[in-house]
Amino acid sequence: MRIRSTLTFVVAAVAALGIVTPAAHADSTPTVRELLDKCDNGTDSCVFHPSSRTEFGGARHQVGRNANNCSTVNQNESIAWSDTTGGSNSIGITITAEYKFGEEFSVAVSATYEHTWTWSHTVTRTDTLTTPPWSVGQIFHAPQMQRVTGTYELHFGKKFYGHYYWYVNNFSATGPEDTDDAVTFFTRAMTGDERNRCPKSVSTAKEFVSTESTPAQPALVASVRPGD
Amino acid sequence: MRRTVATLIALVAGLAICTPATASAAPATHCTLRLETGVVTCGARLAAVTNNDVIIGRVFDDQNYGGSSFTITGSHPCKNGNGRDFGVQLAKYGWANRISSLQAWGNCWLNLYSGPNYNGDHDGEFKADTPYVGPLMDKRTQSIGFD
Repeated sequence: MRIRSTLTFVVAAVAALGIVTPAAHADSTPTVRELLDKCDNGTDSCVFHPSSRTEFGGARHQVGRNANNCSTVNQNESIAWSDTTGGSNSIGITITAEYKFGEEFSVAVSATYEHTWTWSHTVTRTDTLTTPPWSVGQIFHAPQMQRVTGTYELHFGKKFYGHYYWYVNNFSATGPEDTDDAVTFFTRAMTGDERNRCPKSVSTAKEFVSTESTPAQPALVASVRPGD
Repeated sequence: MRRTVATLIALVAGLAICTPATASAAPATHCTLRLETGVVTCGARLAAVTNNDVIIGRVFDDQNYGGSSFTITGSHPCKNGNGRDFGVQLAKYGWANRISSLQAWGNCWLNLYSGPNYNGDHDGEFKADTPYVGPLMDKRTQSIGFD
């Protein structure tokens, strides 16, 4: 947390991220990683100042197993699934609790944007799919994501690499939101290979006459496996 | 050391491109005032500080640090509790009556005034980043004191 002192009157010097390039000034300039490791772990104060936040939909991907309907009637199936979405950041390390700069980031973002920041989020739920005959039901999950950019301001009580103040500009991180996840149910007709993998005893259901009020889709009713 | 308004005479090299955004479609500009020299530099992105100054505050057109920004740098951080360290008259830089959010940097506490020369309505001290300055001072600030 930020510490204020009326006794602190320093002749400050500043280095921005553009200067903190390890190769060019290896002896006189810390790396970004070195600076962030010092956040609340050797600094008088370490503050993250956000400058922008955007929301976007993460990549849609399948979760849970397929629901294969090898029968001639609609089939309801319950599928339990769990999906963990992690975050990323501009310095390419996995943020854990030991990194205080991650905590400063979370606090600042949550206070500013009234959106909880998490570096990892897990969705666990059970969905029931209704899959038409000779079809495959699938569940797709697209996590809602947020990206925040800003600057770290670090103040050292004693000079660090010759300066009291250091800034890490243009730090950005992407992380999952814990709300508004998009879950999509999708069904498609089985491929020939998939139909061949259906249990024989079930596949003979072409003789079965459905008594459900909802008839199978006409196109699918006609697509009984050839040769049975 | 108390800074007076007289020290803030601007060398307005970059001022022309720091005029207020007039339409929602106008791109955000990000300007930095160096109090030591009065020079303002602007660009399309937040600029890195490359001299020995310290950022003492950053103010924004919109809430949540959105829109155009105006960054103020000083020669040293604020001391807190020892009077005014710095002051800025915003009309000089095209920033009067624009501020909706602000950030406190360099150990400074920001005081907002609705009139020039620290007169009129006052709100503060803002001691931390503030995503909305509140209805009293929203789009009404004409001068800022840094304590």
